[in-house]
Amino acid sequence: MLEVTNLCKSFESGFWRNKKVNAVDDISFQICEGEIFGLIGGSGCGKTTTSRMIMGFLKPDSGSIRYNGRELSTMKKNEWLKMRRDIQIVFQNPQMTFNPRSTVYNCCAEPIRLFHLAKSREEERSRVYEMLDSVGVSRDQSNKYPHEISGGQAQRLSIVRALSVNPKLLICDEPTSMLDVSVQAQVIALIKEKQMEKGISILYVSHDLDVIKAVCQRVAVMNNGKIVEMGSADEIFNRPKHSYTQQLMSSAI
Amino acid sequence: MDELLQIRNLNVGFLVKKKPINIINQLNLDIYKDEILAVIGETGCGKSVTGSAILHLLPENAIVSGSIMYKGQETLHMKDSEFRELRGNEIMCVPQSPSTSLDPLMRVGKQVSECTLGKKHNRTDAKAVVKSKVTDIFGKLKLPRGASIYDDFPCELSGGMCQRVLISMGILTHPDLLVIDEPTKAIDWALRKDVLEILSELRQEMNCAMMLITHDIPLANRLADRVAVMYAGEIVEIGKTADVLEHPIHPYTQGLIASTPSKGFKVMKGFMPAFSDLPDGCRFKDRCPYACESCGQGTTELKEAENNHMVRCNRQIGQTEEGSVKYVGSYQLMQELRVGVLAK
Ligand SMILES: Nc1ncnc2c1ncn2[C@@H]1O[C@H](COP(=O)(O)OP(=O)(O)OP(=O)(O)O)[C@@H](O)[C@H]1O
Ligand SMILES: Nc1ncnc2c1ncn2[C@@H]1O[C@H](COP(=O)(O)OP(=O)(O)OP(=O)(O)O)[C@@H](O)[C@H]1O
Ligand SMILES: [Mg+2]
Ligand SMILES: [Mg+2]
Repeated sequence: MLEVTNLCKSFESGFWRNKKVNAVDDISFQICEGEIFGLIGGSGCGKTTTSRMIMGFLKPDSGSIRYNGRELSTMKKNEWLKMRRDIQIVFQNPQMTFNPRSTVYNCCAEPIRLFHLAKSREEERSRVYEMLDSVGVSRDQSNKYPHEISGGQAQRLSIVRALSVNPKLLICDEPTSMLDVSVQAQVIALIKEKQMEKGISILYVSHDLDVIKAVCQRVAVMNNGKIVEMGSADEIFNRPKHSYTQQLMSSAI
Repeated sequence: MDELLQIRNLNVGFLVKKKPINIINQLNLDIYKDEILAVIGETGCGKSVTGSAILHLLPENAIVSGSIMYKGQETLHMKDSEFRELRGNEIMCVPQSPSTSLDPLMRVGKQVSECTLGKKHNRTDAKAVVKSKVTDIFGKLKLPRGASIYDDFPCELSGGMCQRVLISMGILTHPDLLVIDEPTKAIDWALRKDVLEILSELRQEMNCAMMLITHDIPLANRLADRVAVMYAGEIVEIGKTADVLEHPIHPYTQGLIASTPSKGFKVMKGFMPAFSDLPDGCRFKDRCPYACESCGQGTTELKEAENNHMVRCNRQIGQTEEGSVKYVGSYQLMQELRVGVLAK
């Protein structure tokens, strides 16, 4: 369904543009229909850069990203807009997803308005309230601004908001890194439930190996911009081959 | 033991649309010298607000009452200018969200060194000393690219790298009290282990007391001397780490621990009530498997269950052994929840 081949991205930084960082270095992987694919690896190894390229927020230096046979990396802005219904993202930091100047209600109504999913104001309101209820954010909090609700509440909202347009591919960049374990269990149950119900594919980026183990079918391990090992969750967790994977597995506390 | 920080009857509320909403309710908490107190609890229960109250960092719409004594000195009603003498020297903090806590237009090295270059130092020669200190700490936290990261902007770093920059800010000045909010969530497990080591080193060498606000229960288990569990603005259980995490008494704590991936990944039913719409009596009763009529009335006090193990629950302590919390499988549960929501 999603096919990434030989993707590369490097950044130049520093005052004279003289420092070069190979954030993503020649990676290839595929995500099949209805699959949860895990991406793990050390901090700063290029996971977020990869997901941002898939979302079209960043242009890759080389390589291709194909979604159902269509090339995403060269797509124009107006084509992307249509694509957004199919591919949605949940960020590491929920405050980044929401426009800080509009209320929680408006933030949730945004995709409904953008894709004309509701026929009337009432329908829009009931959809938004349904969204809020399904993640336990009370209705009177919908008048607050995103920074006034806690990180976890914002993250739960950003997940249902992303799911509200019925995407086919969901990219989750550390979706539960701001949540406590009980809400994390609820959120993951929500993601898994949606995944079973609608058969969406998920790219799940996380540091929490326990979560990855419980959620993903296949896993890729990244280190310094390269994929060092890829395989089924069972293989990676029970019989890791690469030394970096082994090191990662052994650092549980 | 000596109390370093004493919080008594702390209430914190916020004015939202001119209506006050009370968040922290009659909180009592002590932090002793050299001790690490972990604060865990549901997302949005008020952990960061408590931390901000200690640090005088609450936003303008906050309403605060009660008392916070630091080394026998009342700090809650201190003027900001007075308190600033403490914050930055004796009390430091590591804020929660790495991407919003750093100034996006300032190079990270400068941001870190700025918190030590106070009035005390004369700037020119201190700068070089501080720079080497900062790069030293960056190295300890395994920030890549050595000294050159000093001149990077926050947007050029990954989430975990920003997090480590914030940690180095907090520990640079060797404070007496460190309020550290979620230090390990955005970083991988290898680094988490390093952070764990750095924090325990800091405690051993500098005798630094810490309030460790975290969702990471294994980290709390390894690092903390005592654990406080918060739910909806109240402390529901507090005691020695092993007592609380291994023999939890409050039903919320039991459910929380059962939700960790390694302890079963069970989904607790229901959600935390909104602060504007709290139930009468016990705040957990709607989700509690043991709730009975008496839970709906009056206030439940924090009572001593065992030696230094305080619990806010009406249940008699002898009853705790009988039957554990009943869970439903996660999918079935989510299904039930949704049906419930739609039926409303
Ligand atoms: N805009 C940018 N300019 C320069 N360098 C960048 C930029 N964005 C990312 N980088 C660099 O690219 C590398 C990979 O960053 P990325 O955010 O993809 O890491 P990550 O795997 O998501 O890490 P984490 O788990 O900590 O979030 C890092 O070394 C980072 O410093
Ligand atoms: N400036 C504000 N105005 C109004 N309400 C606020 C404000 N800041 C926080 N709150 C409310 O206070 C409550 C507690 O927030 P807090 O940030 O302390 O949660 P937390 O326990 O740190 O959660 P998390 O684990 O997600 O960080 C939340 O319900 C939030 O909506
Ligand atoms: Mg990242
Ligand atoms: Mg917080």
